[in-house]
Amino acid sequence: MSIPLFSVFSLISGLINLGLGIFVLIKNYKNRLNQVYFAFCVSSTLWMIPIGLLSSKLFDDKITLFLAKIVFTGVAFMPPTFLDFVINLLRLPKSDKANVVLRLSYLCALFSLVFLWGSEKIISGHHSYSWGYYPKAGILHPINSIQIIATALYGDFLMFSQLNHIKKTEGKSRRYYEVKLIFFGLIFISLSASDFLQNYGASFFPLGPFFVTTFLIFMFYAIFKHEVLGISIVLKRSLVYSILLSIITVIYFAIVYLIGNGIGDMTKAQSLPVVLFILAIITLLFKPIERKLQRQIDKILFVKPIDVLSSENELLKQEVQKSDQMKAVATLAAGMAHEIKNPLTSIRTFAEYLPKKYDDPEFRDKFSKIVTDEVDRVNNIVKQLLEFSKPREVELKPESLRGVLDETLELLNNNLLKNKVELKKDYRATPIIRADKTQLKQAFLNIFLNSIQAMPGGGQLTVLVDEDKVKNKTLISIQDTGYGIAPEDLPHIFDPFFSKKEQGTGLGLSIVHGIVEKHGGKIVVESKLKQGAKFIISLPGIP
Amino acid sequence: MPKPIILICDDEEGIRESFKLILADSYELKFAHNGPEALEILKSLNPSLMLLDIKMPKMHGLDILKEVKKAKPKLPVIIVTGYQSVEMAQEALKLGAADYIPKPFESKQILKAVAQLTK
Repeated sequence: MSIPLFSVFSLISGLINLGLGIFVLIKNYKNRLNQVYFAFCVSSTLWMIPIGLLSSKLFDDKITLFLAKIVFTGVAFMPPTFLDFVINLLRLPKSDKANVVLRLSYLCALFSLVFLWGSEKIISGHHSYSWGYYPKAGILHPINSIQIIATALYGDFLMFSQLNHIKKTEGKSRRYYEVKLIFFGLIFISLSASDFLQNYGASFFPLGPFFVTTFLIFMFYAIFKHEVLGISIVLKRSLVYSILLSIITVIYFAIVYLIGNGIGDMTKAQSLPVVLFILAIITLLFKPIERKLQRQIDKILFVKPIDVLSSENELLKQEVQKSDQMKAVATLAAGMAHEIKNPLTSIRTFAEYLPKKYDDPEFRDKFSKIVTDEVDRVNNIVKQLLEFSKPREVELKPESLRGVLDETLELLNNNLLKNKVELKKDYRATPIIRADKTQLKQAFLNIFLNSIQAMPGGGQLTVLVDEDKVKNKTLISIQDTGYGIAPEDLPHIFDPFFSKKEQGTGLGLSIVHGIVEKHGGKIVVESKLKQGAKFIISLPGIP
Repeated sequence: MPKPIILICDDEEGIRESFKLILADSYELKFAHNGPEALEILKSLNPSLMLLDIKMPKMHGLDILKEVKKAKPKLPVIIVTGYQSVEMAQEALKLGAADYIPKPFESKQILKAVAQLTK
């Protein structure tokens, strides 16, 4: 008894198909796309395995008819599961008319099952060809075949039109490559409809299992290279290279063996130079061929197209930004908790002692002062937090930078005098910039106050304005001679609620940072402990 | 019998006043506004207990704790802070803090902890 090669091929291909379906389902069994892909694999396996068994001609008529009906059961459910997979892959909305076609397709499959298993109107027996048995079409078979082919073509059409749509809207994104690969794979599945011809007596070899195998190759490649169906498999280069090296070595040994046979008739003296010559060529060619193959493998399996890489980079960037935002929120929440818990503690304690110490006038005075101060403080924190979290949009208008700076400094005249801070203005340029005057004044005010507070024993505050005409930027440097910022604090100076001052919420410089950014500018700080600090703001000039 | 001395290190006036309300009847209180001031006081004072905030200007509470433990290893220190994180509490206890009380606290919480450590 010998089993034809076609049978073995169909059986193995069917089993691999089912294996891939199970693997895809296990990897993400909650995902509808993975579920329908599994259903599609089950249907196609129901077709391929009995086809392999039928072609072996090992079974009697009764079993052959049973197997033929199983074949058609699989065939009947391939189009709806195929279309279901396409609809889910393309993420078509439930309202899309494709879903109506899908429901009809499932209904047709169920109806055909009734006729298939209840009568012989769809499969009436089997044909005996030189390469094996094959199901014979019954009277209703043509109707089913047409419906099946129409559904498959409709699925292909959907894929093709959506592929173009994705290319237009998203460019050659990762999704584009994903859909493209599966589209090509599904084209091969559709081609397997040619196997209906053998149902009607065409005696040529059925090609369906080969088409399905080609589809499988596409699916494997799509999973490995583009992580389709949400499956990410890490293929280790070293493993692939080792397999490659083994294959090359086997090929070389085979060549050596064949050549050895070829020169077997030669004498030892004659064969030695020939063997050495061949070995030298093999040795010389070994490395270049290995490198070339490695490059090809890199290209096929590991290197992603530039569009995919750039879209993945963009995604990564967004994730990093999101994570930064989350960190900022966490810092904000921690800082806020601390800032508010202190006044809450005082208010709570004083409220707790109020009944006991109500008659003590000293307590009442303290109560009044502490509670009022702490409530004001909480109110101030909330106000600043709102300013920080929901800053109003900037209204940029041409403004004289000198005017903005001078008006802000005027507000601080008394403050400068009181703290013995000498002001030095060094306006090397007097540019007109696009600014929201109120917000920019707020930013400068925060920095100036910071600088003054950093010089409790007095010092010098230098405000320098200059222009970088090449880059069309305005530079504002605000330098103090205060106690400076510790190196470990420098990276956090603009973080919300970061403060080393006895009083202050730690939101001032965060607000400055936000305002400068909204003006399209940048702010940096240079400082050494006990040597003062210098804030440098660069703002874009008017084009 | 003299009252046990407690050194309170907190930069917030409201908190210092709160401690005064809770503890002044039974304990002698000394106040420091920041770490360096507390360390300076400790050179000439042997308190029975120290209450220490974490977030303060000039020196971080945990750094102060380290210095205190170097200078007076047997002095019990209670950390009282608005930073309610497990990591911070673990770090403080690892550095030798005797207790960790989050703000806002109840007066009886403070009284109980202080009484236990000044027995």
